[in-house]
Parts: sequence; structure tokens; C-alpha cells
Amino acid sequence: MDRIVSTIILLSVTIALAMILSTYYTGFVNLFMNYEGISFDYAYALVKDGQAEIVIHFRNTGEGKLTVVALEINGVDLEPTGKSPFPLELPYGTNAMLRLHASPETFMSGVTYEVAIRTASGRTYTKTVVMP
Amino acid sequence: MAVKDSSAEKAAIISILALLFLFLAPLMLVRCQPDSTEKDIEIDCTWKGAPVSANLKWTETKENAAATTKTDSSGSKSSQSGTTTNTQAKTATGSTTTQQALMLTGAASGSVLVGGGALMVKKKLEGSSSSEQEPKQAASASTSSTTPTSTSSAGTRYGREVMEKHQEELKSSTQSQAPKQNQTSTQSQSSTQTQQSKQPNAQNPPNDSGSTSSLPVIAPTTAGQLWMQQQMNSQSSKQSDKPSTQVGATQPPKQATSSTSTTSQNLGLMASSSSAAQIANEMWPQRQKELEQLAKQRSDRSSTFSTPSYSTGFASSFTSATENTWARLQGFSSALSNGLSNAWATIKPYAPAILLTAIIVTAVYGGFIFGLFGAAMTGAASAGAAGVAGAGMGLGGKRVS
Repeated sequence: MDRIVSTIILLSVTIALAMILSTYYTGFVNLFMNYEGISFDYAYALVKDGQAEIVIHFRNTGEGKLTVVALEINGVDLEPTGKSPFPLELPYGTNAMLRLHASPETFMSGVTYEVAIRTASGRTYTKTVVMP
Repeated sequence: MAVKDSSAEKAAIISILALLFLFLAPLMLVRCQPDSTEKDIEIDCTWKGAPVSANLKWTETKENAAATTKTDSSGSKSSQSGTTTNTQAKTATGSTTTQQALMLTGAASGSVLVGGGALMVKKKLEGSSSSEQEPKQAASASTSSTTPTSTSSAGTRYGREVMEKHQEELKSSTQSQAPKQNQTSTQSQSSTQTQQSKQPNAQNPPNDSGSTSSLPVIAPTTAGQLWMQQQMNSQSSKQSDKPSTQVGATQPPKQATSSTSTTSQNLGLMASSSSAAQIANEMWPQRQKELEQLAKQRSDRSSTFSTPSYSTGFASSFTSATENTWARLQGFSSALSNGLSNAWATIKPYAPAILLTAIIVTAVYGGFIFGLFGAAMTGAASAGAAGVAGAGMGLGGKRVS
């Protein structure tokens, strides 16, 4: 019975140490290797009810929250009317959907539009769609 | 022995339950995932002067919602719909849940470690104390002593003095008493049992479950008791070499108690000597007065402990007989230090194994993590070297051509 108890104690010590070390090293690695990332799942453009619409599905694949500071189309910022809602913070692993509505005169048929999401880290993630 | 087995069983059961909790905790956490909410933000903006309406929608948990800065403005509308079932949201909360599970698992492991260690200490100390206490209890039961049983260190000191005097007397009267010893042994057998009721505490070593003491109880010093037992054992071993050959028949008390040589039997040997009994009778009243005086002097500082728990080495409870905080602290610190020393003495044999395990785990984890760094660095270096080599080859090729 002594051996069983001592074995259990040693196993517990090992598990506790493993947990502590894994937490420590994970934090250590995250401190230096925390990266930001967006992956675009899919995007499409359509004209519906007399309105042109661009839909982009993306996901925050980084290791932390994603801070969106601006949206661009073909290199030109979308300027909010009134007070800017940015920055917008998307938690880790969040699936998000961005919809852009405009008149067919703004989003003209047959034109390629490059929608960009600019983040607080200065990076720009782009997705290209072609208006039908 | 029954106590030992039951404590071991308890240790095993508690360890198994703790391990079960350890593995079930993450499942409980996964089951208790928070609800997720859907956020929908509409932004009215312009692009090249034309109005464009942007709508950003995402799902987040309540925990993340508290951390996320929500910005509402006149130009934007924020709305929250009801809870929705989204598998992706569960994926998003996976990291938090994993961290909590890791923390809980670590806490459970720590509790298992502490609990197991405490039980090991308890079991070990019970094993050592039970083997020592059983003969003492048997001896005290056979003598049916009503004399004061003091658990104080002063009592142990008195017993030590009696033994030292008796040893000196034995040394001085070695061969001259040989013919008389048959008579004294018979007398001592008869007189010892009658005198034992009058004899002081020297023949009855400190007994935790013994009768109540007439003296004020002074905080028991476990180290002092252990020292006394060691002294008595060493002295009795010395005596057993000499008198057993010379005296021979002066050891009937061994038959009266048990066959094993224990401290109580050694004390029984002491009690069999009428000279020791006389010394004790002569010394005890004066010593008792001294002890009472000493106890009175210490009454303001004395703190009464309950029966010390040999299971953990710590006093099971502590009640102060004084308002003197410093005295209380002293008493408590002494009990604490005794317990810590006992715990360390028990854990000490396992220290190398624990240290080795820690080193191995650290090496494995450290090697893994820094191996990743090393691989990245090596990859970058090799890529750079390949680039330089390629550039060099290109330049060389140009030169050749």
C-alpha cells in the first residue's frame, strides 16, 4: 500500500509540475509569438432589390482579439458618417460577416472590388470580389 | 495495526477520488460553457462620396462581451439578438475553457499532492507512534498506576535523572551485590508493584492517553520525548550488556510485561531495582515542589494544548490559558515547527524522486519549447544561407558567362 500511495503522490507531483510548466511555457511563448490573423471563409457579391451587396465571411484565427480600425474598398477608406464606431474588437476565434450595401451605381456590375480590413497592428487583409 | 491499515485505505480512497475529480473537472467545465450572444453593428459611411452601409456581425460569448469594448455612436446602431447555437462560438470559447480546465486540473493535482503527502505523514507517524505506544500502554495498564502522569518535558527530565543515578549506582555496585541480588530481585518484584502506586512518573513514560496530570500541563515537546526515549534505549542497551551477564536474575520484570525489549520494559527494569525506587521516592517530593513552582512561574506563559496529534505532528487544537499573545505565538510556533520537522523527515526520502521527476519534466517541456524556437531559428538561418549561396552561385554564373 505504501508503494501505491507513493506512486500516486509521485504521479500527482508530475501532473502538477506538468501543468505549471505548460502554463508557464505557453505564456512565455505567447508573449513573444502572439500573432494576428484573419482567414476569409468565402465572399460573394450580388444585386438584390435594386441594391448591390458584397458579403464577406471571415474568422479571427489569431491568438488574441482582433482590433479592426478601418475598412477599405480598392484602397479608399470607408468614412463613417458621424462618430466612428472603430475600433471594433473581435474575440479570439470569432466568425464574423461583413456586408456592404450600396447602390448599383456605386458598386457597378463587372467591376472587381478589393475589400480590405485594416487592423490595429497595421496589417491589411484583403478579399476580392467581382460584382455580377 | 488496524489504524495503520485503515489510514492507508483512506489514503488510497481519497487519492482515487481526487484523481477522479481531476479528470472530471474539465468535463464539468466544458459542460458549463457560457451562452453566446450575437453582435450586429451597422455603420453608415461614405465611399468616394457615395453612401455605403456596412454591417458587421459576429458571435461572442458573455465573457468575451465583457472584455470587448462596445462603441455605439450616432451613426451606428448596435443590436443584440437572442442566444443562438453556434458551433463556431464554442470553438471560440475553447481556449478559455482549456485554460480554466488546466488551472482546475493543476489545483486538483496540488490538492492531491497535499492530501496524499499529509496522509503519508499521518500513516508514517501513526506507524511509528503505535509501535512505541502499545508497550507503554500495556505497561501502564499492568501497573494500574494512579500516579500523576505528566506530559511535560520536566517529567521526562526527572525520569532521565533517575535513570542516570540508577546507572551510576549499578556501575558502582557491580560484583559486590552479586550474591544479594537474588534476594533483592524477589523483594523488588514484590515491592515494586506496591511501590509503583506511590512512585513518581519516572516509571511511566509520557502517555498521551494516560490519566490526567495533577501538574499544570506544559506544552509537550515531541523532540524532548524522542530524545529521552533514545537516551533510555541507549542506556538500557548498555545496561543489558553488563548486568545480563553479571546480574542475571535481576530481570524478572521482562517476563511480567512482554518479550520485546521496549522503553517501557527498560523502565520496568529500572522499577525492579529497589535502589532506583528509593531514589525516586526521595527525589520526587522535592522535585514535584520544584515542578509546581516552575509551573506557577510559567502559568502566565503556559498554553494548554490538547493531546498532540501524532498523525500530522501538529497539535490538533490549541487553546490558550493566557491572554499573552506572545506566549500563544510561541506555543503555536513550537507546535508548527515540530509538525514541519516531522513532515520534512517523512517527505525527505521521496525528495530525490520528486526532484528527479521535476528535472525530467522540465527538461522535456523545455526541450520541446526551445526545440520549436531552435527549429524556427535553424530554418531561418538555413533559408538565409541558402539565399546567400544561391545569390553567390548566380553571381558566379554571371561571371562565368
